[in-house]
Amino acid sequence: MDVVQTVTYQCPNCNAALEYDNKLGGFRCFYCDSTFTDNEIRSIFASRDETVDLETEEPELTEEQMTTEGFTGQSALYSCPNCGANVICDTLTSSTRCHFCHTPVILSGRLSGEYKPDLIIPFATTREQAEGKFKEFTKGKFLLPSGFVTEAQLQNISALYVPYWLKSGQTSGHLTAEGRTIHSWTRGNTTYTHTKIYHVERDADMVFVRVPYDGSRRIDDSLMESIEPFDYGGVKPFAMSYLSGCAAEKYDVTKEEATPRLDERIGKAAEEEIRRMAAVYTTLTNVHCSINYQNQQYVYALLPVWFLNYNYKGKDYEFAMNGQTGTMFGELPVSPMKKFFFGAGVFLAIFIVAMLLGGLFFG
Amino acid sequence: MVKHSTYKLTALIMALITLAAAAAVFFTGTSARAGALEHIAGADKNVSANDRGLIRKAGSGTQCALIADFDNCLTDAEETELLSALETAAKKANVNVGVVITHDLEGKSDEGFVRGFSDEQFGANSASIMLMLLNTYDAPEYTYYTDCLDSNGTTANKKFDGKRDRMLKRITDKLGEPKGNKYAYNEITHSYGGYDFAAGVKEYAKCVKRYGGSGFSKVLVMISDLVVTHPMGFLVIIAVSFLITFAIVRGKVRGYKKKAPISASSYIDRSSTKVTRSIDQFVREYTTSHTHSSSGGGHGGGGGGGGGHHTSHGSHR
Repeated sequence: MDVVQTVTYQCPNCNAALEYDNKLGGFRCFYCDSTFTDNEIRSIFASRDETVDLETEEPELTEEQMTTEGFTGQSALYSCPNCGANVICDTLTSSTRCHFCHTPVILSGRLSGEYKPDLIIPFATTREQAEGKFKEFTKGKFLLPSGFVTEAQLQNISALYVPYWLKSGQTSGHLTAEGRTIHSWTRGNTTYTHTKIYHVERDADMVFVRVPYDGSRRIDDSLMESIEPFDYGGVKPFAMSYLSGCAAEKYDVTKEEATPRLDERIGKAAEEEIRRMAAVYTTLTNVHCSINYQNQQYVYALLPVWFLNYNYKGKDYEFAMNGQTGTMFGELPVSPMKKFFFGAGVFLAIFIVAMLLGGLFFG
Repeated sequence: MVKHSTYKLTALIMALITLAAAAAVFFTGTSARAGALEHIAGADKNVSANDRGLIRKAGSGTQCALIADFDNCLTDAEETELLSALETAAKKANVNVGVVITHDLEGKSDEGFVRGFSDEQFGANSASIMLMLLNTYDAPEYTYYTDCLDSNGTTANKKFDGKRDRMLKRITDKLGEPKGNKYAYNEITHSYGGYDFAAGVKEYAKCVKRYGGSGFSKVLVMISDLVVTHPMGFLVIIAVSFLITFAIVRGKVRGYKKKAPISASSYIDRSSTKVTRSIDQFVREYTTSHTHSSSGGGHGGGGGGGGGHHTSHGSHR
């Protein structure tokens, strides 16, 4: 098993581990409470980071090795720079904490070459905010199983930088349709309807900027789409230091594999936009729309997400929150017993009201 | 000679005593039949039914109970028990409750008799309900017939409006079938046909208690009557309740499992969007018309009844 190159960021004052503080928007030493901005960290560790061979890639795995990793989830060893412990990690992890001393460890070998992200949006929400949002999300949902929202459960909320492909490019769309304008009026007992039919054509050029698609196979794509959009105003050039204290993964979905879904989303949005340009008509029928893509560009980015996984009656339920905007989404479990009693209560109430009304009128 | 006259005197005295005894038996009414005949003949009109012990009352104020058994169809024990049941019903329904068993309507109609009797016993315009059981041989086809129910007073009307037919059916069901010859006078029950008047009056007390209640008990009565009288309607209610419940629960659960598709429209750079071609070529136009047919019918006014007397008839063959 190969040993993965690791990097850790230590406080220049006390040598304890530095972590990115979401609330602060900078780096903090939780031992001596020193704080540092992005620029300070970059300049302090510039020379060190340059010496780390970021162009050194992990050796490519054979298919057999990849299959084995898929089953075992384990591929490499890393040595903790703080305590020296040898820790096994899975294929995709690129940032984690030492299981023994809890020091943030960045697996720099996983962030090199084609796996080096271009951009990152640092976390803008804290764990407390994520917990608060989760509690708010589950408020009033009385069909949840008892004990779903507990402190122990909230402890399972974890921060993760999810690998994303961001596609930008130009599209040109061409739409043809039959448009109708319908106008009605009434005179006396008669209603008149006047219809005009047009042949409609619209061509439009549009630019899409950074349409995201998550590059991790094991994360549900629709869940990730549900917590969009990210505010790209907060995007920064990638630096490994941002990963300190947070888990991160590298992609296992290539951009070629991501393209069909991205094109589908872009195509749908482009068609909606062109239809809107023909909104003067009451109805549009026989619609034909074709979309062409030009100047497509892909950027690999790490975007912040809070995750909570809950297992109930053998089924996994995922909850995710956008680590920048706070948009949350997830599937919540329903307690069959509570569902039954709720249904029984509703039935009884409706039945009694109906019987009372029936007795009143027909009794 | 003296001995012969003594025998004659003794015989005369014995005859007189026998005659006197026979007369006493005849006129004291120890026989119910004698009493009934007496009533038919109207021989004792000068002595009120109250004084003859044929009318028994219980309770006070607007919650009196009354049994007037002119034909002696009920035994003393039955009268006592039924009077108590009627008194309980009167308190529950907060009306006067009475029952009169007679074969003689004194030349009046059913309605006239029962109304007059109710007014006489409970007072005019009092909240009361009176059941008359007619014990008669006169009816051409049946030995006794109805059950004339009069409710007097607004309170009683409100409570028992719409319930009379149901009550009469219950009462006549309890009166039962004739035992043997329905035209024959029954020496034991003193009724023609041997119908069970005691059971009928008991059921009447139950009905008054059932339909005269208010609040939650009235609700329960309404519901149970609906089930009996409109079974299909009851099934429809169950089905509709179930469907609505299903829709509500499903909608609630859906909120726990929603996955919202996010459009990529938010990633369009609006400042660089431009329409490069726009064609709106007119093809044709047309006009259609639709004339609405006028429908007749306006609102029908419904007349409402106020308070006052209401009577219902039922018959038992």
